[in-house]
Amino acid sequence: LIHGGGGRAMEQLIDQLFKAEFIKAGVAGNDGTGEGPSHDATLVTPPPGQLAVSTDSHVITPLFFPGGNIGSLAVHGTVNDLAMGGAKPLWLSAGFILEEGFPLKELQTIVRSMAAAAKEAEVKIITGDTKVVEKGKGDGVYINTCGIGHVINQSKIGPQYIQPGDKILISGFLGDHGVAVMSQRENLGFESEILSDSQSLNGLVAEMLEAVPQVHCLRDPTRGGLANTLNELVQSARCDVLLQEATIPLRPAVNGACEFLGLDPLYVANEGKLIAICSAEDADKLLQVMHNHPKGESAAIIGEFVAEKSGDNFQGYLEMETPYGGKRLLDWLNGEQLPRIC
Amino acid sequence: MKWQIQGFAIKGIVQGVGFRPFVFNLAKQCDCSGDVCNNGLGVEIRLCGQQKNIDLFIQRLQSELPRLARINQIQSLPENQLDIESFSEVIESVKNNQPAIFAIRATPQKIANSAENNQKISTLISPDASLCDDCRSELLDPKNPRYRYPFINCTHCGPRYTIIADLPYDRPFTTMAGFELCKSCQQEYSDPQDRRFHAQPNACNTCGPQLSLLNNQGQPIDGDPIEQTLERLRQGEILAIKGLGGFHLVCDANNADAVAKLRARKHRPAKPFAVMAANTASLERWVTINPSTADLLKSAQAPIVLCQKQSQIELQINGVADGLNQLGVMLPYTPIHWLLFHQAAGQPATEAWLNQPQDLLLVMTSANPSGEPLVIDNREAINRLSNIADYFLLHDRDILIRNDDPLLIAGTEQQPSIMIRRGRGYAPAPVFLPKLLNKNNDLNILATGSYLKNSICYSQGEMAHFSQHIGDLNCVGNIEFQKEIYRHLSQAYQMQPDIVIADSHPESPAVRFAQQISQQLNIPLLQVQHHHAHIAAVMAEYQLAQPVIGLALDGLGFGGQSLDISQVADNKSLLGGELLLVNADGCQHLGGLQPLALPGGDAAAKAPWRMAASVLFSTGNSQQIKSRFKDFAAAAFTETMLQKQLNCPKTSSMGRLFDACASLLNICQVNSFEAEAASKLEAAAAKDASQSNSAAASEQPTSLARITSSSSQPFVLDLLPIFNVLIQSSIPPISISRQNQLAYWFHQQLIEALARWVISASKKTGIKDICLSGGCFLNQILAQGLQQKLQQLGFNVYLPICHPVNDGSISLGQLYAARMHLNKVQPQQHKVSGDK
Ligand SMILES: [Fe+3]
Ligand SMILES: [Mg+2]
Ligand SMILES: [Zn+2]
Ligand SMILES: [Zn+2]
Repeated sequence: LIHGGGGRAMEQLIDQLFKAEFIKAGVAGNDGTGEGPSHDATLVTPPPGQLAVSTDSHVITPLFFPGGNIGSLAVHGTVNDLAMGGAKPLWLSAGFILEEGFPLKELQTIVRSMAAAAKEAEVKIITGDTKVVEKGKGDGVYINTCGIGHVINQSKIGPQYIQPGDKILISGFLGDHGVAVMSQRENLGFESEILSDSQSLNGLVAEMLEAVPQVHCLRDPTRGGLANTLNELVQSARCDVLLQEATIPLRPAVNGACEFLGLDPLYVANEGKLIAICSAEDADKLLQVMHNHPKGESAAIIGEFVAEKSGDNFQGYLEMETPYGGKRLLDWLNGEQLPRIC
Repeated sequence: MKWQIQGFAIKGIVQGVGFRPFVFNLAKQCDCSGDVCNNGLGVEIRLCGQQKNIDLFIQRLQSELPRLARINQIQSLPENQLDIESFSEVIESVKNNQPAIFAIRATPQKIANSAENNQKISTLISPDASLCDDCRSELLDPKNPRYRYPFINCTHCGPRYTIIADLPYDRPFTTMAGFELCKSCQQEYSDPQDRRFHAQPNACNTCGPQLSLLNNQGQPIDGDPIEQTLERLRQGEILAIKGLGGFHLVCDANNADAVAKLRARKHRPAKPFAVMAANTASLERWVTINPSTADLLKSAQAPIVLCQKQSQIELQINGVADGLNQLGVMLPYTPIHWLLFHQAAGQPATEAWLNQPQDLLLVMTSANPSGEPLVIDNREAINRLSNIADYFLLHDRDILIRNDDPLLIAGTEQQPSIMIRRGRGYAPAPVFLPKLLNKNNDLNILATGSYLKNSICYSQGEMAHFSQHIGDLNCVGNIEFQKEIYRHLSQAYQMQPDIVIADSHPESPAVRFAQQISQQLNIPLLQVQHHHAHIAAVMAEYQLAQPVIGLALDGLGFGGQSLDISQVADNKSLLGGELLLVNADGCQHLGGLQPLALPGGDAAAKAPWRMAASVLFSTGNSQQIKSRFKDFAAAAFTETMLQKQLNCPKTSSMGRLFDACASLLNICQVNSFEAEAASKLEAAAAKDASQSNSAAASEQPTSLARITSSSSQPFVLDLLPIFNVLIQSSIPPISISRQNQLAYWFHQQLIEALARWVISASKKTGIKDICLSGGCFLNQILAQGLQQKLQQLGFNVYLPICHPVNDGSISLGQLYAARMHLNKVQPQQHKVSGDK
């Protein structure tokens, strides 16, 4: 890749590459005519009802990791954000910022993953843009995606609908993505390779909402992991959470790696898991639906929202009961996991 | 006959402890007329009589104090403050040579409202006290109406702080409110000459609380609860027994199976348990008890005292405190405890058994599931402890405020006993602080303490209410307990903070609590850095205000801003071996230990071998990591982490170096409880035979440590040269005597190095006053050794005795540092609590 004089031409060339890949995967355009994503405005016809819009910029080192790369991640991230709003993702835009000198072959791999991810998630990439920046001014590739989705049956999904007594479900094993990425970045070579869980969740969400439309809240525990995501919900729902440590799905490999590293897997990022919160009556049914879907086969009920304990000055506590009956606070972490033991 | 009028104002713990009846009786014995009343800060006495009688009275007042009273100051009152008009009747009677008359007066309105007493304290909450000898005699006397009544008490003993909801300390404001005094109890309560005059928890079998024994399904067990409880203990069952400040889990210490069962159910594999025996004669089989320790055990505070074990003890009481050279012991302190031992002795009618060895030895451990607050409520006990305890010995006198057993280290002939954990019997007795020279003296200050071993300190002028041990703020129960104590003290003393103080920890619930208070009340928030607070706590104990050199050695405290004017390292530096210059304004960081990687953060604090790996890495001995720690799957990986600096924050912690040493000597590789490795290292050093060899002991070791300087720290102490030698000398396999020898050698080297560090700083600053603080000084070889060394070199050394040397005193230190600072700065426009 070069930048500068012939830059404009180069960007056009790359656009062609993108178009070709997206068309090949059948994820280009919105009308099935085989038109590629356009630099100019793409016209779409919204379905009746509400639309959901979400955008996310993806920066990650390394660009390629076991179980995915920045291309698939850029699709999954935005698709999942839409799904967590209770929307069926329809269209994506893709904006690329490329660093001069980035190998075309790697770019092609990224674009192919993106196309495959979009195909799997049944979304169309309808517009895009590319810029090339000077060498040393970017980490290879940055991708921004923006997504538009159609809100399924006007569902009331959000932290404000959470009630004390609600159950918390998780769709599968925690911490895979963060550990896979770190393992790749630092070349740690864990014995059994840990794959990122990066995947789209809209299919799973669609089935969950069909079975239990009155789900109270959906959230994907990405950065900050389960613990920080639940802490956010505790703050917006204004109730406390009590988790049961023994029920939280963790792969032995991930757990072991975290123990080695001195990290708490509950604070490690996920890219293909969701937290669902529903009333206690709906919990078993919802769990059943999740179990029947390949992306939720390891789902579990891991705890519940409880009436807040901090009295007149709401503080909000995320607590976890250990298998021995002790309780531990999973505090909000602003940055890295700092040592605390004296 | 020549007579005098004299008045005295007495400050201290003189209210709610039977002080006025004591004064009343003493005055009569000394042939003095007069009266006594409570005032805002204590008690006021007016006397009229012969000078020699008044002198005798004052002398005996101090030497014969009631058990729970403490005098901090006796001040002579000038005549114009004596309100002679209201005293005329007494004067008349003395004039006319009538027999001495003495009265207990109500608190005069004038005094209650006077400007002098703007702090509005009418009474102090006194701590709970162990059963007094008089009550015990009654309890065990078959002819006494309160024979075997488990709630007997008087003004000199029984529950206080743990049952008080509000002040004044009157029965309606205690958890005794629901029990109406019967006629005879009422009579005792109203008679100034009775031992139970105004004893708020006074009760008897007719009118008071009752015991009951339940199984863990909550069903009552027939028969006498004491008899049944003892029988079950003898059978090896585990009992939850309601005490003064919370529940205990109890089992027979002589029954190894019962102890193992308790450990398994409590998920507490190795952390030592404390034991209770009937008397010191019974304890002497297990531990050495000197006379001062015996006094301490029998005191009103009745603490757990860590005593030196007799040899061979482990063969006999298995699983109680294995691998350590100390055992925590205590004596019965409630009537319920006494009744159990009385029962075990066969209910003797005479008191001879009280001094004879008894066989019953009980493990008594606080009933707090895994670090959570102590259980205090009956229903809560059955809910939360039914998977641990087989039976519950309960009663219907509620505990309002939990207060754990206090813990001290036994003293020796040369050395007083040392507080480790402030609890029942000690808290919330106030610590008296020096008066400030400006208006800031009247400010109320709330210090919110540290993240671990939290306590709070809440001052009202010169009086600081220093809370009990709250615990680690890593569970909601303890976080809420901290707030509860704050609310309780605010309510009881009708006060509100004008300034709130927090640690500089970036993510501590205590800091968040302080921020909340600051916003809510719109009051200033000051930060005091952890190690600054450690040193200031020692200054508080010794009331120092001059500049001192502080040596703070502990596991972990964050660096950061202290009192807006001082900075101790960066905000996120992990400190733990620091040399500070602390003065009235703030502090200056003179230097820390040479930082080392902490592989895996908190994981390293749990696994001493990780810290040893860090030391091996830093000394160029990485190749030994895999071979030494082949039992640990993460060993090879830890080396990678160290190479890549992956989750390896740097720390200057001293605690972690003790861990590293214990691991290199193969004494302890994994901490199953806090400071296990350090305690076992100390125990090994204490066992070293060369210690008693006087030639070897008096030989000065050549110090290997290096003192260097960095851009921000003039004195950095590098202990790695000591570790270099240790690594070469400890190549496995290592014999036990070699372990002990090297453990002792390490301590000597460390003392030498630390002394040199202090000397360098002293040369530069000219300061000869040295304060030692931080959890590492619980290590007695280090604490005593360094103190002696520095004293020999001509330094004045201050080592805490009355308050915990560990993080338990951080709140006191925060408060003292802030007050020293406020002594210098001009009073600001704060909202003072008076206007609410
Ligand atoms: Fe500390
Ligand atoms: Mg996102
Ligand atoms: Zn008594
Ligand atoms: Zn009575």
